[in-house]
Amino acid sequence: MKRASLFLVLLFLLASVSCVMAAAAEKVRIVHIHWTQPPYDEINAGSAKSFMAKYPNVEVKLLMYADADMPTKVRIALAAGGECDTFAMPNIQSPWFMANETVEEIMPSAFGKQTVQEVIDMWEKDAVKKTGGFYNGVYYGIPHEMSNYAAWINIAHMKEAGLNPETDIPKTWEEFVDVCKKMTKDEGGVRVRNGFAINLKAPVFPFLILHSLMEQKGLDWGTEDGLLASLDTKEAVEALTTFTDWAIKDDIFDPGLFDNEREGFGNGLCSTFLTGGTWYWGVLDQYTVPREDVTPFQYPRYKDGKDIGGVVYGYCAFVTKQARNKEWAWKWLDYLERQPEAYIVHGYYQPRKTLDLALADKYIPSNDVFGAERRTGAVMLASPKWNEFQDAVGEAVSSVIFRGISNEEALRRLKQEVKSILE
Amino acid sequence: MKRVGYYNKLQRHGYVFILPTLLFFSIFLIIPMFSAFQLSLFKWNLVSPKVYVGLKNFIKLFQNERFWNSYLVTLHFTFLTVIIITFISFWMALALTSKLLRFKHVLQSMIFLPVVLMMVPVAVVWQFMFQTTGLLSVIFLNVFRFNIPWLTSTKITPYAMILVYVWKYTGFYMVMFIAGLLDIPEVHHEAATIDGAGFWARLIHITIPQLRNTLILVLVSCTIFTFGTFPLQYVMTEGGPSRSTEVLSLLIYKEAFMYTKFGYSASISVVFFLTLLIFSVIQLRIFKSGTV
Repeated sequence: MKRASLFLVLLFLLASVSCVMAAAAEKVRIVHIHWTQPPYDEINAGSAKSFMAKYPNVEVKLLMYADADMPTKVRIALAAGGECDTFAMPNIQSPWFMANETVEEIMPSAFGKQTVQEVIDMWEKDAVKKTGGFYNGVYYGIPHEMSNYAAWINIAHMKEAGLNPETDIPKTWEEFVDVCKKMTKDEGGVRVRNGFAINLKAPVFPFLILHSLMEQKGLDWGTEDGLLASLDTKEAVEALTTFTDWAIKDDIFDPGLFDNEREGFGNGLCSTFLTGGTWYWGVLDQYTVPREDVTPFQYPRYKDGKDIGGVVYGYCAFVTKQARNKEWAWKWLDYLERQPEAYIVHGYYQPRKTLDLALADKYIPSNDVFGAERRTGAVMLASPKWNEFQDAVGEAVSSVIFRGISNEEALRRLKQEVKSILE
Repeated sequence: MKRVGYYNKLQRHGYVFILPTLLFFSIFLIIPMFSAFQLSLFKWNLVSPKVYVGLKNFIKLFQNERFWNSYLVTLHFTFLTVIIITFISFWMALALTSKLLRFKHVLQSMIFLPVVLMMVPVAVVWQFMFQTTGLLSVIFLNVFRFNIPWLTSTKITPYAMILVYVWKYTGFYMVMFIAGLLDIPEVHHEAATIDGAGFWARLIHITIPQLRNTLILVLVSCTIFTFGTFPLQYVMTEGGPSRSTEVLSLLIYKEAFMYTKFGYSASISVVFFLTLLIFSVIQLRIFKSGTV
């Protein structure tokens, strides 16, 4: 009797353990890689938590990495067959993942839709393209964030230089140079304040500025072919000359004063810069210049050029080819990217059509400027070799400013390098 | 017979003792090194299938202007740095072993201090000092009435890199020379002094010949470490301005982790390795020493 009882107890225990293990094994596990950025980390973590509460059969694990490290981490996870079901990626890096067939096409059924176009229509027009979810005619990603670079100016410096912040905000590149010249400050032969500044150490920044200048000149830098074809045109020479003259002729920019223009602007060491998005308000709070002393404004234009603003950048979320349950992976991403009202509170713009645009005006200071620039912003070059291109373009700008070669020669060399990259 | 058996046993024990280190080096150094040799013959971007391309990576490499620029930048940096470090550390070691100098330990510690600091914070601090309104620029402006574009001139920035590197590592090699100098029996100098030899005669005929092994060690190790410099350039200039400080290690890093050309990057690593091998063999041959 004793033996029979013991046997029954053991059998019961075994059955219980098996049931628990089976339930755990049946649970869908999704590992999502995201870049870390407070306070958005909390929103992402909250989304994962509420998603799991809604769907108890799903477990979402978030892995947060620094933005700069994220592409390498995801590549290694994919190469090693590690756990990586979904990830977010900036539009400058995402073409590599799409071109190398590591991510899935959008799955309409996971969104409760019939066609991909219906899914795309859930976001603002062209938002998927601008945020880097589109490559070679196929939609792979859904937008997580969309923003753009605007120009920023220190209005206290303007007043000090006798300029009126209401009427003297520059609208053309000629006016931009004039205004910057007035705000540039030298003491005892030493530059103590740049009228304009940009980080030339990291080639991405000169690339972004030149990208806009080229597009304003009517050249196509959104595609590899367009980039290559543009380089022996007189418009390209004019665009590059505009940029390099700021350092070598107009003298509004001394690269030796500091590297990081966002930091320099925040500390009053430069009066304008061109690479700040809506998030810069939060960044500015870490420095000495108060918010009331600065204002963003639209990129200046060429008098005879196209009405194109700063480059639009953004992040898309993707499902990997190796995802264990693709449908649930897409469902999770749909859930993550359907709460623009949670992000907008922190000035983070998600271009989902459900966003009440009044909230954007409420929470993003100067949203009129950013909104206008988002609509006219240049579409980023979509290339898996983007890193090489930006490096080559950065070198072209640097070789004029630091080596003293002509703009024409720099473009000739750039063309050679671009050809070599494409080969 | 018994004696040989004892030594054999001792040798076997020796192998056991070095086994953990051997395993560690095999896993983390030797196997990756051979993998890099193998990888240099392939085209691979981490997620693509590995495609065998033979020597194409090397052919492309030798035709690439950027590689040659990087190679020359590295040679220039290494050559000047090794000469300057060897010269300064030798004379500092001589001074610090001299009986005439006071507060030797304090001076020695101060000179050695940069060695224990991490290169990244060192590079950040020097970067601030090199800026237009930085300490060095202010000193130059006030003393010499001109400002030096430390980090914004393709002609000056490579030397700014050398300056920081020499400041950081001279103390390390100085300690090596001090150890070598202390190994020279004092009686040799005393005998030479009695024979009427002056400072220079003693230096040339006693000190330098007896420091030969230390000198080889300093030259070989300094060349190897300097040729592989990476964090200084990565933090301070990222290879700029206009690729004037883009050393080979930085190019290897960019080609692999930024451009995802792992095969091509491995081929640069192979050239890098062969260059150092040739350097080391030449240096050892010149000094004809089998003891280092």
